Amino acid sequence: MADLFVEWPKMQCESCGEYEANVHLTHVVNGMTREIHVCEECAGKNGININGAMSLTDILVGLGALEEAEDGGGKACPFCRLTAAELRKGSRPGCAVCYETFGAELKIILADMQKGTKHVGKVPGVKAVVVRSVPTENMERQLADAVAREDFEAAARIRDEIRNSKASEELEKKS
Amino acid sequence: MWLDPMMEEDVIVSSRVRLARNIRGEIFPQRASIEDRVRLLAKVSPVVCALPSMTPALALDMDGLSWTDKNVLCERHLISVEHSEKGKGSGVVLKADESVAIMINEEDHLRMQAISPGLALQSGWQKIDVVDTELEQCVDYAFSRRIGYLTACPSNVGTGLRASVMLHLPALNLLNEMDPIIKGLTRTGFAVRGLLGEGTDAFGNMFQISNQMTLGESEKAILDRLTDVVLEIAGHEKNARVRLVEQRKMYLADYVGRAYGVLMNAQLLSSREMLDLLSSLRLGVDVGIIRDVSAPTIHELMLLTQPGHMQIMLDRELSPEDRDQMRAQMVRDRLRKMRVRV
Repeated sequence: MADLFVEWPKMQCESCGEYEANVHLTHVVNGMTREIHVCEECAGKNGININGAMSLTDILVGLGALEEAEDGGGKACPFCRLTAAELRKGSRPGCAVCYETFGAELKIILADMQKGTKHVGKVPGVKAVVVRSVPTENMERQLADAVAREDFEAAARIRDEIRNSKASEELEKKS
Repeated sequence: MWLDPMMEEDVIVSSRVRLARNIRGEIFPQRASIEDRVRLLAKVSPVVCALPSMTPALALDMDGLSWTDKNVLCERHLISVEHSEKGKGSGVVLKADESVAIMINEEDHLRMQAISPGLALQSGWQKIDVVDTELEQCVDYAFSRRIGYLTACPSNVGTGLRASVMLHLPALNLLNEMDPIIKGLTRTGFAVRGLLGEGTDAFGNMFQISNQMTLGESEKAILDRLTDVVLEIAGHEKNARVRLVEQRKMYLADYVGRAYGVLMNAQLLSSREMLDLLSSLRLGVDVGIIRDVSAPTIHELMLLTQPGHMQIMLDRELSPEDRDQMRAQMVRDRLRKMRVRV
């Protein structure tokens, strides 16, 4: 269990103040996240078993934390409408936004299912920006036509296209 | 395709590298409405087909597929059993050479996989990485810099990578040495499954080993660890075969001989029984007890006697009993020349 909280700094137990806190719990109530840091003794006294094969989700259920979130009007994902209760039941987010909405809950579910906590693999690259390179003589003729027609909006657009096209060609030559 | 009829290597049968991806701004398939899924399929399928690394590609709508079609795809390991149960709103895009298959609206919006015979994890990853990189230019993936690719099930979050290798381990199984191996694998972060994937038994002495976790490790690290463990187990199997021949020859010969007896004389064979018997036969060929039949012939039979493949060979619809009868017939015909020599 200590592995999961490597990032926490040393602190004293919030309950007794005597021992170092080595049980760190994230308590989610009414959409608000509260962190509780206690020592093993106090955790045990409050009915939290940290020695068994219990999952963290079970611990929080034991604390009544997850249930409270449900009672308190229920948090729901703004995109897919998944509720905290549904998440707790199936352990499955309904969409990508759920990972934001239920950040704390999913952090715990993830800690249960996965070994690591941070992604160290492939990252999607920056999207290639497509600049169409249309033959400029054609475009310049179009520009002339547009000006003759007094369609200045079109003329402005074509002028920009010509500029972009020339600029990207220059860039290509340099790289 | 996962099975290479010409392959001589018997222990490491095939490799699969699978990536799970989802599209930003779309509800995950399980929760999405049928309309959403149909719309997503219509939008994404042509994009996938047009990817340079997928051409020439074949797009299939699960709705239009028959029982036979779906079984054939499953048997060729191009779609999962779960996907074969899908209908409208789900599809698959296959590369014509069957080396890459991309399922749309399975558990995730996109499940892309590269499958090849033998141990081919690195090349499989290279293939699928290219497809993934091309596709990410065309769609917006659901991704978080902190926890990686976002998936429908948290067990796939991060790399979204599930790599697996199929191993044929008859000797280890015969010697009852699989249990400690499976326990060891589970303890070190690997999942062990049967031939047909999640929740199935290891019939035909086939074991699928895959990585359990997807977050906190790089793709390369996951593949390296899996490769190492696969090579180690393949070594154990080869060693077990040697021990069987040297120390338990009669036990082995009896095991193989009985398979020979049934295969040459049975009138009705189920596909499950067939796989078990063919496994014994392959072991027999490898240790020299079975003569005059090649490993490629057996591999070919393994695929062609599967229900979908059998049905596709004939025009009239076959009942399970018809298939059992035809299967037994096919085996007797193909293995006619086979001899046992202890």
